[in-house]
Amino acid sequence: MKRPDETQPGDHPKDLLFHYLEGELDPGESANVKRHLDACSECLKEFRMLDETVSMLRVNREAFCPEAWEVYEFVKTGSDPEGSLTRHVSGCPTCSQEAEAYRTSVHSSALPEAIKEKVEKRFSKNVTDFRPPEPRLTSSGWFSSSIKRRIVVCGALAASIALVVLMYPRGAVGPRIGLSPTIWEQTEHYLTPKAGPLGPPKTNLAVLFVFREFPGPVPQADIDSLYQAVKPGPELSERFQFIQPVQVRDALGGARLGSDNREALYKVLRDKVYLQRLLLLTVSPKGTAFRIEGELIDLTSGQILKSQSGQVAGKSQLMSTIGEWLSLME
Amino acid sequence: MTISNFYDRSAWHIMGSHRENPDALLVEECLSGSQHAWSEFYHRFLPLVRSTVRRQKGLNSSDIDDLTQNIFLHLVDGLNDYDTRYSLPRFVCRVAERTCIDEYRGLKAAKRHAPTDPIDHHDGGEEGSLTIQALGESQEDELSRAQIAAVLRKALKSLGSRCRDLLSMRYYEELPYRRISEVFHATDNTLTVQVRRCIEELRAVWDELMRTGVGR
Repeated sequence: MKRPDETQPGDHPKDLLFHYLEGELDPGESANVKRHLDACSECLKEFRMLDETVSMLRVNREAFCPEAWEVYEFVKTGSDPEGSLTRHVSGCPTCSQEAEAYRTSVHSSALPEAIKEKVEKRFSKNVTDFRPPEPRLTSSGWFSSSIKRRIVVCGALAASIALVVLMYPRGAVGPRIGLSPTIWEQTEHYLTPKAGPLGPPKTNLAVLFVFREFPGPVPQADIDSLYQAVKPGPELSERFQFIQPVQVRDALGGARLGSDNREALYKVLRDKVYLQRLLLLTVSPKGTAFRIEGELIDLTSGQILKSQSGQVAGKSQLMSTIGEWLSLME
Repeated sequence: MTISNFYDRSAWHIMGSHRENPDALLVEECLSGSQHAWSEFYHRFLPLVRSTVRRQKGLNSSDIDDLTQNIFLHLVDGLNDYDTRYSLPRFVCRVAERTCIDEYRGLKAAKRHAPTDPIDHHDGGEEGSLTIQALGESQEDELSRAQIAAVLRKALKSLGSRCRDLLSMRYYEELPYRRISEVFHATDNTLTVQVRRCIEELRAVWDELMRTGVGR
């Protein structure tokens, strides 16, 4: 190999120091450099700097790994601007393990108590959640479990809708999809598909609220309370695998639904959460009352399997209308 | 009945999710005190925070759990510092790293001032803090090494992409110069000279980071 400089007596072989460090010199050249280093403190200092830096790289190989958040974003978005992440993650056991953890992570419902308390304490003055009291579930199922539960749920719905109308009294705009980070708590035991020879896998189903002709955005707390109110009970969960509202939100959150038809919406839900059935609940103001439409839609064919609608003037009518929505799935 | 154009001539308006930046909306909801939003935040970033903590080598699983929880407690206080123009995962990672460094410094300081005779604490230790007795010399070395690696990563990122690729192939993938020269279509000698320049550049950045205190 031709060298940048050949070592001459009295010269500082600076250009050969790194070749020497990397073992790229032949034995004769190597011996010359070594002799020079034994006698020259200036070159020895430079050689030590190079040696230390290379050693630091060799010892701390994880420094070549992308940051944890870069691996996270790579997994979640496929973002790899320089093309180096794909190569690195595929070849690095640590990073590929992290990537797998990000891919397989699933939402759970429980927030650790210490964090929950801290959130309550930190934000006690500006909490905006508007939620009905946690309903008590029994084996008799959703909405048939007790009158008390019906009153609580319907009261929450009525209050939410009334609040929406009071806050936005004039002017109408197009339909709005209401998404929510709600996770139905205490439902994993029956939302999780049962293992074992229990027949074919359950059809999955998601609930989606749409607000038509409301004059402005519906407050997030009201949307959350509506999703909380339609939390599925054990009997329905025996028949359907429910997709959590937060998963629907993740699927639709970044979606471009600029077109004016439902097909785009269905496609996103099919592609992103492999949704088979959608329960679409449409709420619209009607004077001082509200119109509620419920449709059970087969997303594979785009067909409405069942539909019901009703006008709600008060609590009792609201309750009966909700009962009709639920009967769609019976 | 087949549906098409159900909502004619009106686009979907999506509420509850920020069309351009869903993370910004999540942060907004968290800062409004929504337990739902915090639950989503926690479960979304739990794997990322745990990965960040695991990168601090030498921690046992109990330490990892404690530190993970401490990081989320810090995030409850610090989320209002998030600038929505930037990546939320990056922000979470930064808070996690900072918390790890603070814990590490706290442990070192506590160890320096600890009495020579061992004390047997039967109270299970203070909740939310790491157990100093669990940190042996090798663990401390590992934690220190993780901090060095973090600074070195920062220095590497400041180099140009060619330098990063060259150094990565040579010192991470440990390829011989002959193999690297095939990738870069250059002679062995040219590459060796280039790698040396990259090493010198890296060293200069490293020294600057250490001088300005970024690495400490």
